[in-house]
Amino acid sequence: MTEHYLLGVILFAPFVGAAVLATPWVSNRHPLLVRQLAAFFAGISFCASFYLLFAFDWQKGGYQFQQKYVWSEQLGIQFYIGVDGIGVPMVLASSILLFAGVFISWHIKDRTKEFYAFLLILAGATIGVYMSLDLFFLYFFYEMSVIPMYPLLGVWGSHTKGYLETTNADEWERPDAPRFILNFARNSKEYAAMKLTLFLSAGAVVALLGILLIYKASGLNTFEIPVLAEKAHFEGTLATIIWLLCFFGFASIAPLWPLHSWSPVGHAAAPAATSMLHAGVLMKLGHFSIIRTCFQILPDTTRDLMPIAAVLCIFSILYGGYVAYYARDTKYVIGYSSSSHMGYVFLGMAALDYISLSGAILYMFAHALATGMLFAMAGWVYDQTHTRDIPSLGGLVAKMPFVAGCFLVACMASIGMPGTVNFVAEVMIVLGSWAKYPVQTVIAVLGIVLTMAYLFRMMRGVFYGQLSELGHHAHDAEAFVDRVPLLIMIFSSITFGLLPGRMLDVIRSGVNPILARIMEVAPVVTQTGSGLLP
Amino acid sequence: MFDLIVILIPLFPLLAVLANGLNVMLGHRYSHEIAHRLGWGSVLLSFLCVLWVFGQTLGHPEPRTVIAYRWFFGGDLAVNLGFLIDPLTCVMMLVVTGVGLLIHVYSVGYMHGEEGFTRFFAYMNLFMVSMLLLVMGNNYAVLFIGWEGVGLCSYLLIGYYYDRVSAAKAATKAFVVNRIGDAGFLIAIFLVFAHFGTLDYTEVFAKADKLDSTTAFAIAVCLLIGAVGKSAQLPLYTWLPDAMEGPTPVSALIHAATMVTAGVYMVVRNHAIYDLTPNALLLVGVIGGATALFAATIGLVQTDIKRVLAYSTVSQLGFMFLACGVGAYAAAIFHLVTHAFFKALLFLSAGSVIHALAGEQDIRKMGGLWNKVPATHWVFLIGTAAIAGFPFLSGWWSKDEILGDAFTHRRYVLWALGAAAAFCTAFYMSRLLYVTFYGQSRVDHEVAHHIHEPSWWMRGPLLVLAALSALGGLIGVIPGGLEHGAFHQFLGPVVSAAAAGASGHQGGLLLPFILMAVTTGIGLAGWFTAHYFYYVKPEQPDLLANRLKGAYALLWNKYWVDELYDRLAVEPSKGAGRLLDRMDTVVVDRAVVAVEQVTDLNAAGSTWFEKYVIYGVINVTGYANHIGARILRQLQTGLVHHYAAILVTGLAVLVNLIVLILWWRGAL
Repeated sequence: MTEHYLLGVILFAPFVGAAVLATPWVSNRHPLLVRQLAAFFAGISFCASFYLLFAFDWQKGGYQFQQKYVWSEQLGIQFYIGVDGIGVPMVLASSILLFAGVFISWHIKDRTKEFYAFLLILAGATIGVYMSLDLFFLYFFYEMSVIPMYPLLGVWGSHTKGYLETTNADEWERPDAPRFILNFARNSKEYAAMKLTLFLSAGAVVALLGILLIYKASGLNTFEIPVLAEKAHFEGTLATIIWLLCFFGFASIAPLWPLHSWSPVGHAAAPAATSMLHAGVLMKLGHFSIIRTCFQILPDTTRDLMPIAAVLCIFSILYGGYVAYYARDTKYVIGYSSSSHMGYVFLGMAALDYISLSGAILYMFAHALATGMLFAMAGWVYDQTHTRDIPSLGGLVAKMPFVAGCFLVACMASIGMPGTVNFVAEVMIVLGSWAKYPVQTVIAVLGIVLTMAYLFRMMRGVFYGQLSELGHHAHDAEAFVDRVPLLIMIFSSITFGLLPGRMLDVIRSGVNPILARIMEVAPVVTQTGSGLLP
Repeated sequence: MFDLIVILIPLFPLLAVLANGLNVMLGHRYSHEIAHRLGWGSVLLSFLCVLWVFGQTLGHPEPRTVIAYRWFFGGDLAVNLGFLIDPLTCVMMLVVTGVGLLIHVYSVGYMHGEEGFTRFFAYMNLFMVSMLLLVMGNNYAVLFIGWEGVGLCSYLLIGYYYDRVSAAKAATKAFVVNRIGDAGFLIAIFLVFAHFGTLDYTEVFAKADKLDSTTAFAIAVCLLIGAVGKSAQLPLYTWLPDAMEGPTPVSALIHAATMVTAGVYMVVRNHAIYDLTPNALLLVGVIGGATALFAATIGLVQTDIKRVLAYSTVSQLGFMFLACGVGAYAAAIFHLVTHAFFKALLFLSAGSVIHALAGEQDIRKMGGLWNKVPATHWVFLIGTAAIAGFPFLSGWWSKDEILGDAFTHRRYVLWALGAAAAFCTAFYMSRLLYVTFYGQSRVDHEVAHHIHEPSWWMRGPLLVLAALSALGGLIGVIPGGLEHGAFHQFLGPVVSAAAAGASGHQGGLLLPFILMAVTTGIGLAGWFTAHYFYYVKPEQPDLLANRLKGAYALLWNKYWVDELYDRLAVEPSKGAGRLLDRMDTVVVDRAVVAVEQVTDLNAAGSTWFEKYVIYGVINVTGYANHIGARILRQLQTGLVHHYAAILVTGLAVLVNLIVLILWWRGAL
C-alpha cells in the first residue's frame, strides 16, 4: 500500500495544499488558518519523506515506489514517478526546506494565502522533478518550478542593495535599456524577478531542445528515462549536440559560471523562504537533471565531455567566492557563496568517480540545509533591522543570541566543519576528484578557505562588535514557530553529519549503476562526440 | 570493557556540552553552580577513564584499535569513527585531560560572575571533545574532525568577549590562518588516500616504506603546512599572539598546553612518513629552529604579559619542531609534556595577576607585586625557572635533551639557533618576572587597593601545576637517566625508529655532560643579564632601546609581518573581489541585454514564421503571447491576480510543447 502511494503523497500534498488555499473559503482575514493549512500540507510531505528515506531498500537499489500512468499513448508520454538513490536525498531536502520555509514565513502579512500557495507550488514542482522518471514530466515540473519564482520575487520580494559599492542611486537606474523588459531600476525586485525568469526560461528552452532531440533521434517514441537509458544510443555529432544542449540548458539553473548572473540578485530580492527553497533545492534541479539526461542517457559522451564541467567549476568556485568576499549585502554574500559551492558539486560530478559522485549528491543535500539556514537567518535579521547592508549592522548577538548561535552553526556547516553533513560530502568530493583533477581539487580546497573568510567576515560584521543603531529594537527568535525551523535544519545537518551511513547507503545504490554504465559502456578509446572539442 | 571505557572518554565532555549548550539556547534553566560542576566533573570522569586506560596500556603497550561505528564511505572508501590506543595516545590523553581538568577547575574561580559563564564551559568542554578526538583518532579523518573542532573552539573562545571588536577580529584571524594550514593538511590526506587507498594509520604506516620519496616528501610537506598553521610556526604564527584576546584560562588550555601542540603530535604520529624523507625532516627542524629564535626575539620587548607568554609559546613550540626535525620524537613529546605543565602554570598565574589587578595586562603598570600576592609570585617564579632552564626543573631536562640531540645529530646550526633562543627565553622570562613582581610598584592607585590573592578554585590548580613544573621532568630521567627514563621507555615502541637513531650517535660519555653544562650556562646567563638590566640597573633598558632604535623598532613592531601579510594577501583578495564584481555588473549584464535584443529579433522572426508558415497553430500561440504581453504591461500594478496569470503562461508553454512534438512527428 505505502509502496504504491508514498511518492504520490509526498508530491501531491503541497499541490493539494495550494489548491485548498486557492479556494475562496480560505481567506486572508484568517492568516493563522492559512499558515496552519500550509504547515499541515508541508508537514505531510515532510514526514512522508523521512519515511521514504528509511523505507527505501538500498540493497535492492534501482527505481522504487514507482507509479506509472499513461498520459498519451501516441506521444509516448507517461506520468511516471519513482525514486532511486539520488532522488531520495533530494526529495527529503526539498520537503525539509518546504516545511521549515512555511515557519520562516510565519510573519508575512501581505497576501498570506497567495504567498503560501505559490510557495507550496514551488516546492511541489521541485519535488516533482526529483521524482520524475519521464523526461516530459521532468521538464514539466522543471518549468513549473521556475514560474512561481516570478510572483514570489515580484510581490513579496525586497529591493536589493550592495550589488555595487556605489551609494549614488542614479547609477542603479537603467533608463537607457533598449527594451521594456529589463527597464527597471537596477536594485529593484522587479528587475531581479525579470532577470531570473528570463535566464531560467532561456536555459529551460535550451534543455527542452536537447530533450526533444533525445525523443526524436532515439526513435523509441518514449520519454521514459529508464527505457531511454537502456536502449537509446547516440553517436557522433548528434550525441555531442544533445549533450551540450542538455548540459548547458540545465547548468544555467545550477548555476554554472558564466550562467550564474541571475542567481545572487534573485536570491537577494526573494523573501527568506523563497531564497531557501531556491538556493537549497531549486538550483540542484540543474545538477539532478544533468545526471538524469547526460549521465544516464548519454554515458559515453559524458565521459568525453565532462572535463568541460571540471574546467568551468573552478571559475564558479573562485569567482563566486571572491565576489562574495566583496559583497556588502548579506544575501548577496550567501547567494554568491551558493553559486560558488555549486562548483563543488560540478567538480564531484566531473570526476566520474564513485566516491566523488556520492559526495556530490550528498553535498547537494548538505548544501540545501546549510544555505537554507543561512538564508533563513539573513531573512530574520532583515525583518528585524530592515537592512541587509553588513557595514550598517553589528553587535546583534546581544539582541539575538539564539539566531546568532544558529547562524554560527550554519556558517560552520557551510564551510564544511566536521560534525556537519557538509564535511562528509566535501571530503568525499575532494577525495574522489583528487586522482583525476588534482589541480582543481587543490583550488577547491583553497576555495574552502575563501568561503570561511567571507562567511566569518559577515558573521563578525552582523553579530559582533558594537551594537548598531538599527539593532536597538531587534528581537531574538523566541517563539516556538520561529525556532522550530532553525532547529529542524540544524538537527538534520548534524545528525546526518555524524551518522551519514543510511543516506550514503541509499546514495550509493543510486550512484553505482549510473557510474558503472559510464565507465563500462563503449571501449575506452572512442572518438564519439569529441568532434566539437579538440 | 576496554572499548567501552575508551569510547566514554570523549563522550563525558560531549554530554556536558549538550547539557550546557541546550541550557544556554533555552534561556538558562539552571544555575552557574550546576553548569561548572558539569563542566569540570565531566572532564574529571574522562580523566579517570584515561588513567584506567593508561594503566591497561602500561601492561600491553601494543596499539589497540577501538571502533565506535562506521562513519562514512563510498566507492572503496570507508572511514570509521575509531580510536587508536597506544603509548603516544595515552601520553597525549593524560596531558589533555589532566591539564584540562586543572584549567577547568581554575576557570570556575576566574570566570566567576561572568555573564556567559555557562557558554564558556560549553565551549571548553567542546574543546575537550575535539582535542580528545584529535589525539585518539585511528585515522586521518577523525584526526581532521578534532583538528577542525579545536580550531572552532579556539575561534569561539578567542571571540568570547564578542562585543570587543579586537576580540572578534582576532578570532576571525586565528580561524582563517588556521584554515590556510588546514588546506595543506587536507591535501596531504588526499595524497595519502590516493597512494594507500585507506586513511587508517595502521595500514598507512605499515605500507609507508613502499612510498617513493617524491610522494613521501609531498605528503610530509603538506602535513607540515597543516602543523605549521595549528602550532603557530613561521610563517603562519601571527594569529597566536592576537589570540590572547580570549579569557586567560583559554590561553592556558588551548593556546599553550594542548591545541597548539597538535602540530607536534601530528608530526610525531606520522614519523613513519617523515623518516622516509630527510629533506622534509630537515625542513621541520629549520622551521622549528627559526621560529624558536624569531619569536623569542620579539618576546624580548613586548609589554603585555600575555603576549610575552604567547611569543614564548610560539618559541617553545619551535623547540618541539626542532626536536622532530632531528628525529628526536620522544624528546619532542617530552618537551610537549613539560611545556604543558609550566606554560599552563605561567598563563594561569599571569591570569591571577590580571585578576588581582582588575584586568590590567600591561607589565609597565605592574611591579612590586611579590609581597602583595605572595602565592602567585612563588608559583610564577617556579614557572619562570622551569621554562628558563633552571637546573633540575622540568624545562631544563626536556630542553637540554632537545639541544643535546640536535648536537649529536650534527645539526650544529639548529643547535646554535636553539641555544640562542634558549638564551632569549631565559632573558625575557626573567624580565617578565622582574618587571611584574619586583622593583617599584607602578600600579594605578584605585587598582592597588583591591589587589588580592585568588580564591582556592584558582590557587589549587596553580599549586598542582607548580609541583608538576618543578618535578615533572623527572619522569624523563627516572629510573635510568635520559633515554632510559620511564617516559622514553613507555614511548619507545611508537617512535622506535627514531629512538634507535638517537642512541646511535652518542659521542662518548663526556659530550652529553659538556652539552648539559653549556645549555645550563646559557640559561643562567640569560637570567643574570635580565637580573642586571631589570633589577640592578632598571634605567639601563631604556638607554639601550634609545641607542639601538632601529633594532628596537623592528622587534617592537614584530618585524612588520602583520602589515606585510595585509599588503600581500588581504588587500589583493579584496581587489580581486571588486574586479570580478564589476565584471559581473558590466560584462555579464551587457550580455543579458544583448541576449534580450537577439530574443526580440527572434521573436519578430518567429512571429513571422508562425504567421505565415504554421498557420494552424497561430491561434493557440497568439493567444498565449497575448496574455503574456498583457502581464508584462501590467507588471507594476502589483495585483496578484495578474501574477497568477503567469501560471497560465506556463500552461501555454506546455501547449506549445505538445504542438512542437506533434509537428516534429509529422502529425501536422
